[in-house]
Amino acid sequence: MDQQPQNDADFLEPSVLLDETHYQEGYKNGYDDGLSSGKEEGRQVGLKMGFQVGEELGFYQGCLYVWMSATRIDQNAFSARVRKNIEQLAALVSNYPLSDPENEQVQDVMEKIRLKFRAITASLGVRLEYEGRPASSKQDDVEDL
Amino acid sequence: MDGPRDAEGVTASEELSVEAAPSSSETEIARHVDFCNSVTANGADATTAEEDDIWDDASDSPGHASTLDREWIHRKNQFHKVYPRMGYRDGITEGQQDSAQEGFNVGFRQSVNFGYKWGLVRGVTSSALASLPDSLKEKLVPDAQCRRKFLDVHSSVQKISADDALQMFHESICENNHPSEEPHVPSTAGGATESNRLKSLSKDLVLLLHECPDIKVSEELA
Repeated sequence: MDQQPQNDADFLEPSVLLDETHYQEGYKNGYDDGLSSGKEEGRQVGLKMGFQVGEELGFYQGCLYVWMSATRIDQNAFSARVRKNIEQLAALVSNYPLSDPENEQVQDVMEKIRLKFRAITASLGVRLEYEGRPASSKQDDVEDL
Repeated sequence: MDGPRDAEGVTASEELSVEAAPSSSETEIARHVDFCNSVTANGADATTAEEDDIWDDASDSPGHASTLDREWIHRKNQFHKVYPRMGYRDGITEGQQDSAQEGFNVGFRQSVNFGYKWGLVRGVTSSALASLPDSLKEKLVPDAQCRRKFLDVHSSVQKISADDALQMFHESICENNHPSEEPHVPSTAGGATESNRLKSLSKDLVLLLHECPDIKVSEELA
């Protein structure tokens, strides 16, 4: 009877060790699979985001090229206010950290770019927008119509 | 329930140890963990007199060893299935978390330049047309034929929505694992032709811009 707790310990110890070993074995397999599947899933999301962000930013830059070309040809093509806004938009777009997707500022910078772009097109009195923009930020435009 | 003398004492201990249950949502695994905890707890402080009886009876009886063996085998079979699975589940979650950002960065860098160039095409064609008054348009693109060509490229570009463009790009990535490869390699696959539409429109615009030197685009478009 005195031996009983001792017996229990002997009986349980290898079991606990085995449990741990098997857990670790499974964990290792799972972790390796998780690494590769997580990377692939992340890559797919990144591919999509990268294209969208790139396209939107390229769109603004393309507009800037044309506006700046117009300014070069005709100094008075745009009002002083619009010219200032165009310069500011150019600075914002060129500072956007395109190659640094982990930068925490990207969302803020993109918002500023959108606002500035909208200010310019509103001043020019034209309806011009990047159509791939998220639906939420299109809401205002729909109301304008 | 059978008496405490039953060789399958497992059932008894399992049902008696509810207080040790962890808060797992996966009930099957929780049940096994529960069961495991109860067995582990046995040695230190036997929870009930009934469980003590099991051990007493078992050690007194001639079948002691074989009872333990049987229980051992039973538990081994259970745990060898459960523990690797629990480990796997925890491991795959951790692994995915650890690599998702890295994968995202890889994908992002792979696509951002292509998207940017396509965006340039969109921006140049739509702003040149839509945002400028006619008088300015004529100064910027004096040749009437060029202005018509701009209009053509513009309307072709407008027909491709942002989602279409993304889809075309994605198909080209899926079919071509070497995105740096020469883009106009003839391909029989339909998707490649689709993504070539983006590229051919870019090229159309590049050619057009050669005829309109006043529009300065200081970057490669295609």
